[in-house]
Amino acid sequence: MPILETLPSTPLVLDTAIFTHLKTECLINEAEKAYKKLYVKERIAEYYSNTKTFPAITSMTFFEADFGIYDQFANGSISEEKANEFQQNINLALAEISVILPFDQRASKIAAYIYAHMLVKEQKWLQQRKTKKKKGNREAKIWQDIFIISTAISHNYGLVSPDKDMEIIAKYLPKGLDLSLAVWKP
Amino acid sequence: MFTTASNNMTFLGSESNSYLRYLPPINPTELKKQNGFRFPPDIEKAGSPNVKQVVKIEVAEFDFELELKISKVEFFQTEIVFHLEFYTSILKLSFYGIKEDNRFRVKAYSFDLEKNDNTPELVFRFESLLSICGLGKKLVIQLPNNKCELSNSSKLELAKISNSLQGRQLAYRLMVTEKALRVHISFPKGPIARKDIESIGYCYHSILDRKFERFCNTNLQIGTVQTYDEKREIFGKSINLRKQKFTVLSYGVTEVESVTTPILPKNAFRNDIQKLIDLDEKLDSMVMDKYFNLFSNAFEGLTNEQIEALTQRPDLSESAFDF
Repeated sequence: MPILETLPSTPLVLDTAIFTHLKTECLINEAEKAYKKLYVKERIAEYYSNTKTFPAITSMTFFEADFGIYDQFANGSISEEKANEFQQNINLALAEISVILPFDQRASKIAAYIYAHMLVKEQKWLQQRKTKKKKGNREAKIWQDIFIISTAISHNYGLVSPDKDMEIIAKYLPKGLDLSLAVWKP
Repeated sequence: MFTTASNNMTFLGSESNSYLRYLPPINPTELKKQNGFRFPPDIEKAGSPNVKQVVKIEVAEFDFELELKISKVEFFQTEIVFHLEFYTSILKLSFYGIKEDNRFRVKAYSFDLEKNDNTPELVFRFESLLSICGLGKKLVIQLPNNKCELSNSSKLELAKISNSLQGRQLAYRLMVTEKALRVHISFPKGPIARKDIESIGYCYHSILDRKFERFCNTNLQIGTVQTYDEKREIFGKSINLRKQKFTVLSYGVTEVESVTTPILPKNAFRNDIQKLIDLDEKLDSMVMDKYFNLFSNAFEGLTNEQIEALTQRPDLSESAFDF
């Protein structure tokens, strides 16, 4: 399987799930801090100590953050003014603390290769994943994770993810490419 | 590619209400004729009889004090530049601001290192200074007859401070390599390539950790053990790490064990350098606090429900996105 463990010096990019966990940990109140393990914060601090860089995020995660805002606006839940304000706050903060890895031409080729192969060879697993989602599990659709993996590989970054789905996706990487994967769990 | 601050004009912002006494413009060539720096006559008259020709930089949180001799001062309409003797180089401390009546209101300040042979120790000291000043809440700069208190803006760019900490780490790793292997390495004038950063890290871990893991592109069987005379290149200079043992642990990962690689001598660094080295954990922890705060601030003013709705993953149901 073309999966490598990440080393302390490997440049890392967070997937959207870890990014969301980080958001949750950052917004936790003082009372909750006493009993909740802030595992993403701990791992990021450890990573920073080794590399003196902050983990990157992909343009896909940026898209997901922006989508959430505009979705609320399109549905009439927030005003255009509020949507712009939230969008600006989030984008400015993210741009300052993270390198944003773009979904480039190399990434798009890798993503297309994986997606085509998975649709043929992992139909059963994809259906199961879809059913899980319908039952209320907020798991991302596979193409979102494929875009994130391919962006990480295209820029020679290791990927941080909390789940093993990334390993299944990585089985369908084009020959000669490896995914450096760090699984961070509470 | 990575660029140390020593290769870049470095601005450290300041939102201060500090005032310097107004220093009138002086033609820099006149200063030269005076055989060394002299204060403008009105400042000398008004000041203490024991005018010290030094600048003192203090940051209380880090118990940091640095006294540097002034070699030259330049006065411009909106800028005052102190040229300070900084170990083997010249540090330019610039104050940017506006003249108000007979005072100079400081709006911002910056440090800049004069380009010359940038040794790891010099870069380490400079990047440490920038990190400390950037992270300290209040910076006190004692000028002859003037005290300037500068409070850092909370909007100070974290990426710039982090860049300095990265430069500091690279410089420290090179200092370790120099001491252990008795070599001299100079920082290049331009950006540093990723392969050099990797080699610097590799040499550092060989000397200090003695045993570590690394990626390798090899088709050797898992468990294969081989010993080589290992050499690395840093900024075009060959670094001989002597004998190292390599064991293939798994696909793509090898364990390296230093066999005859020299070790770092005890008490390798002078006390003042060691004191700066020991600040590493504190500097990291302050950067992390700022990082997490910035992250939280992005969601400021939103209710939990709004945050939940905004960060819900998109669900596009068109056929191309159906999985």
